[in-house]
Amino acid sequence: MTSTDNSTTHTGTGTGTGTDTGATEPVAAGAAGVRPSLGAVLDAHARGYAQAVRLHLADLGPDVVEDLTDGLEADLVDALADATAPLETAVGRAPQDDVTLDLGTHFGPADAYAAELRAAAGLPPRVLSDGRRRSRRTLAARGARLAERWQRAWSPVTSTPQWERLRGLGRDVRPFWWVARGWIVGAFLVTVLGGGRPSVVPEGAGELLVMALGALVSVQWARGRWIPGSWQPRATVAASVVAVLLVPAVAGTTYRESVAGADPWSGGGSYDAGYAAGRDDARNVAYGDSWGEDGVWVDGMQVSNLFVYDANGDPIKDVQVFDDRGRAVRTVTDGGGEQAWAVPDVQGSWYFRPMTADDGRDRWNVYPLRAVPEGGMEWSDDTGLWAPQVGVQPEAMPWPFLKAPTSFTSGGAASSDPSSDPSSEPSSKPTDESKETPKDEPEETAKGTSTDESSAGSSPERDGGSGASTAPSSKDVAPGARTTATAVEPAG
Amino acid sequence: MDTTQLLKGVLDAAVLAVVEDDDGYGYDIVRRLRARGLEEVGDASVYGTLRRLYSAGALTSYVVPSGTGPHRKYYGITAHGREMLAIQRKEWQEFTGTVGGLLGSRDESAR
Repeated sequence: MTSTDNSTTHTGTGTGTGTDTGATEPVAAGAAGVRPSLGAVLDAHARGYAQAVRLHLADLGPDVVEDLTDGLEADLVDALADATAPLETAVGRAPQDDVTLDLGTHFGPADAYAAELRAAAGLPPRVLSDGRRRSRRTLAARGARLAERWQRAWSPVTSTPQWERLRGLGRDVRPFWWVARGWIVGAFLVTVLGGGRPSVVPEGAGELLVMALGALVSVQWARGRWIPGSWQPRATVAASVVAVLLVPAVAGTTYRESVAGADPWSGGGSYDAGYAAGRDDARNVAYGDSWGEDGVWVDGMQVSNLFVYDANGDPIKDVQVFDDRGRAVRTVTDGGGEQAWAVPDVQGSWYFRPMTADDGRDRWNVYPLRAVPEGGMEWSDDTGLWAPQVGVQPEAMPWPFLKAPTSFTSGGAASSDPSSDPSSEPSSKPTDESKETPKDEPEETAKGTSTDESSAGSSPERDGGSGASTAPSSKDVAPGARTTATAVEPAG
Repeated sequence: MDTTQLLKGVLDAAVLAVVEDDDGYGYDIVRRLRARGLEEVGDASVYGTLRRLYSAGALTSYVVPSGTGPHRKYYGITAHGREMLAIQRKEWQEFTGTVGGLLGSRDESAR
């Protein structure tokens, strides 16, 4: 031990600053030419030794190891600086050699150093890691026993000739799996490289190349080619596991894009996105509170009321509207009856009221809906519902046109009735005119009837300020609509 | 007698004593211990003890970066450490008094 020499040297240098000078001064006296490299050599050796110590502590976990050996390099360098100086001068050799020797001789083997550190810190000795290794061994043994028991449990099945035949089949079809495995992993690589979703159907030559290459590599690996022998079993098993894990994703995308998606929607992803965007738009445009997709929507805007005209363009009141499945077409959906609506051309808010059928039930699909002004509603404690006040009758809402801008003059009356009969529809319409709907040529006929300058006849809410002129003019043009129009006037 | 065994019992107190007045980093503390006569003390034992005392809350630690070499981890005594040191000092003095009386009398009788 060099401690006696140490004590004499370092008492002189004192604390803190003395590391380099303490080391180099005596060296300079001995071998001045090697002096610059000594510090670096020391540092390197200290790092190596500290690393070895850390390795022996590794079972304690990184935090404890860091805590225990933080600054160890600096301490080692200091200790070496104190220790090597007298040694070198004593031995008189090249410092590198001495330093190399010194680390081991001065501090002892790294494992002993680590054990001392561990013991002094009150941490459990390394036996624990051996114990862990032992427990790993016992775990492996237990696993082997379990596997054996499992195999024995299945032996009634696995010992049958049928099982053997099944195994033979499995062996024979293995090459197909090799190809599929490589193909699937290739498909996944394509998405890693190029984005998108993995599909077994390649898009373009590049993807085809990658997937074919994957299949080729997979087959070659299975044959023990293109891979070091020791890696072969693990690599092929790993590739198989990866491929099996990828099957659900790949199959899902393939089905969506190539099987289910083989229709005008052209690809699940874009369709979904478009649908979502369209729905968002619809929600954004909705007046008042939006009720999602319920109700009737025209051009992204929710419809509050419907107005029906006959073939001559005359308004028809109290029309029941159903869709092609026989469901009542309701602009006001459940709960919407308690919702105030803004109605074009009329001020204030309105509560739509259903027609009451002969059986006493409310019918919301009878158009045009009538409405009660906001002040005419009251809360009924008895029913727990909003209802019109006693004596307040629902009023008719103004018609968008007193006479529809389109009429079917040549046999229009005849064609409008059969049009409700599905069987006659194909024969009647082509023979008539191309004007199947009022939407097609609203302006042409609008000039003729001179009721409304608005071109978009389909959406009443869109008409905006034109309604003010509609109400008065309605009396002149369409006598049939007069009752409804006059009924509205007090409200507006 | 194996003094390293004796050292183990007092190393905590000894380490606390040498940082009582002045903070120090690992090897610095080893130096101080050796300078005060504990020449057989192992570096790793001191570092381990420092870590244990730190865990026990007897020491604080802070890192001082070094311009040239690796950073240094300094240790300083806490109030709790001072209490520990005071207790251990008292215990040691009582113990050495007792053992000294015990051994000294025999020693004398042997001579």
